[in-house]
Amino acid sequence: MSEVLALEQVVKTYQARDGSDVPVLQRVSLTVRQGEFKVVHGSSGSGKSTLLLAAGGLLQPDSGTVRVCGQDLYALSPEARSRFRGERIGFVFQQFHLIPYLNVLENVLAPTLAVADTGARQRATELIELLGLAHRLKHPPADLSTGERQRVALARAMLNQPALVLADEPTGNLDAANAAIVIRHLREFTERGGAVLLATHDNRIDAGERYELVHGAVQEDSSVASPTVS
Amino acid sequence: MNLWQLVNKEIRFRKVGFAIGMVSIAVAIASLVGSVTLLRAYEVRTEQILAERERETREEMTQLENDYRNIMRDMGYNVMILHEDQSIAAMRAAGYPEKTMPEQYVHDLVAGRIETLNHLLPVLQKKIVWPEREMEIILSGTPGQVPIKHKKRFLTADGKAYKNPVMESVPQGAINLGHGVAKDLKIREGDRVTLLGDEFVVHRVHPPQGNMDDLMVWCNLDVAQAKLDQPGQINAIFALECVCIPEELGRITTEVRKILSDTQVYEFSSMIVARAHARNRAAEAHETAIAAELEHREAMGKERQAFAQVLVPTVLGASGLWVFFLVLGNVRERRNEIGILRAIGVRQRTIAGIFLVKAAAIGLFGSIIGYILGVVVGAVWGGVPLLSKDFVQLFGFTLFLGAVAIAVGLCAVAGWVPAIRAAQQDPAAVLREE
Repeated sequence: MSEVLALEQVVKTYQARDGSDVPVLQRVSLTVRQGEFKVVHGSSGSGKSTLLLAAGGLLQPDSGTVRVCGQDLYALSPEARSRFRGERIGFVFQQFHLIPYLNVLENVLAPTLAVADTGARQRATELIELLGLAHRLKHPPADLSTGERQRVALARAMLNQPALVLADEPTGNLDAANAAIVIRHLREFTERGGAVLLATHDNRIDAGERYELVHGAVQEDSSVASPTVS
Repeated sequence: MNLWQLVNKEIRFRKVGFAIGMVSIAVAIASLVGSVTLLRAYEVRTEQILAERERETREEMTQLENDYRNIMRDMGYNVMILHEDQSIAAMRAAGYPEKTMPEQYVHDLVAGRIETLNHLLPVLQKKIVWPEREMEIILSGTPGQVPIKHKKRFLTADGKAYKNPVMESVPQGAINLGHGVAKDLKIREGDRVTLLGDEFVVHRVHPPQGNMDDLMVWCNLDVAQAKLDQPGQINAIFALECVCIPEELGRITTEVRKILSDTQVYEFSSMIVARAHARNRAAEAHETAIAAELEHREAMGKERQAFAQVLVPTVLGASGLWVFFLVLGNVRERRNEIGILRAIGVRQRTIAGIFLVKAAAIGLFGSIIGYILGVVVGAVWGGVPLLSKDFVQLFGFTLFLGAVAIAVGLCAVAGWVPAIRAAQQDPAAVLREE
């Protein structure tokens, strides 16, 4: 399986208001290959979101390299990185971040603002059907349940058929049933050849390749064979 | 999904904010367009007033012209053709020309086809004492107007007489009396009187003229020539309505003297010139009044222009500032949206474009509303009735394009900084906050 995401010795330090350094990621190295579903588990403030933002090309680390599909993200110009992100990476967030004035279909199609694609509408409709939201096609986010909103966010992340989906606490606001649906769809995505890196503090998620993020450092925990929600 | 669709959806979603921005721009553009329209309406009114004044002047001048012509007709003559030895001073002293010339001269003039002469009236005049009445009179004999054959428009169909003669010929066996003579001698029209031994019927008594005509007794030329013992003689040819302006007198003199070398042409009435001068003075007075009106309105127009030059930039500036804060507020409100758009790969320039297009849309729609509002307000204020022809003329495509360009440009400038700020927003900072 080819390497989709590779973090090597990634270091990120924030500066506190008092001027002191707050180390968040300390020489993190992590690889996610095609078809893999990896879960980074950690408590709040452990650096999970920072790790995903850095992996998605949205937050430049202080040192180390981030490669997606072999491309060093931070070697690209900001504009090129944006385009690359739009084509290869999908994001799912705990707060869904749906655009309130767009309906379900339009929200799923939002990535076409970055990458124009004539087949996008067809794929969006298929994804919406796949995620069980066909009856919600023209509904605004305000009309949806939290579970439905997260499925819309998931469809949006998958629209451009990315190589990698970065999911930051995707089940954080969901009940067990909805969380299970989201995890199932992510797993199906990996089965279709995609790669997923999921960050969570949700202990209900059991993943085959699970890492613990402790004080900014990753520790492997391979106690679970495949990602499920218990 | 494209940028235009996104902006359209967002505008519909946040209608109030967009409407506030639009109203702000509409007010600014209305003040701009209103000022321009007001000045234009003022110019239209000025043109109307001037046109009205000019029309009045024309009418008055036409009236003066008619009066002038009437006076000329009443006076009867423009120039007199006299014998070249006739002293003007002597003529004025006597009240008539004393030197005579052959009656044939008038026929020579007719044959000479002089274009500037329209009516020719030969006379033989002499101051005498009316022996039967013991009163000094001027006996004036005339055959009436001698038809100028090539001036067909003045003549009857047979070419033998004038359609509207300036002076009617005196019938045989009749005389006409000046008002002064008739009054002093208590003679009325129809009375029979004896003059120099012969009896005549008083055919007509002329109304008072206030000149030597009041002392005249008019008879047929043959009678006068016989009574005065001057057969075949006349002492003046009155050339009637032959010139409209005194400046042409020189031309007539030249033409007449080519035919009648021993004559002189005398412009006998300074009243003609006086009337012409009066007419010119009236025209000058009107021109002065119009110029004063124009100056007054120009001064007022400049005042309004100066006011507009302060008002318009102020309102435009205030509206621009208002749009700036509106777009800035919109950027803050849409912080998460910007974050997620950046996360899904939307480029910075597209993010900036979203806000700039929205700002431009505020400018576009605000300017259209403001333009219509401005024209209406300007027209009402400028005294141009709505839906009138002048009102329609106030709508100018150039002004419309200018207003739209200014509004869109203003909004683009006002939205520029917030749009750049949105584009430069760190998506990680927003997404990490959750």
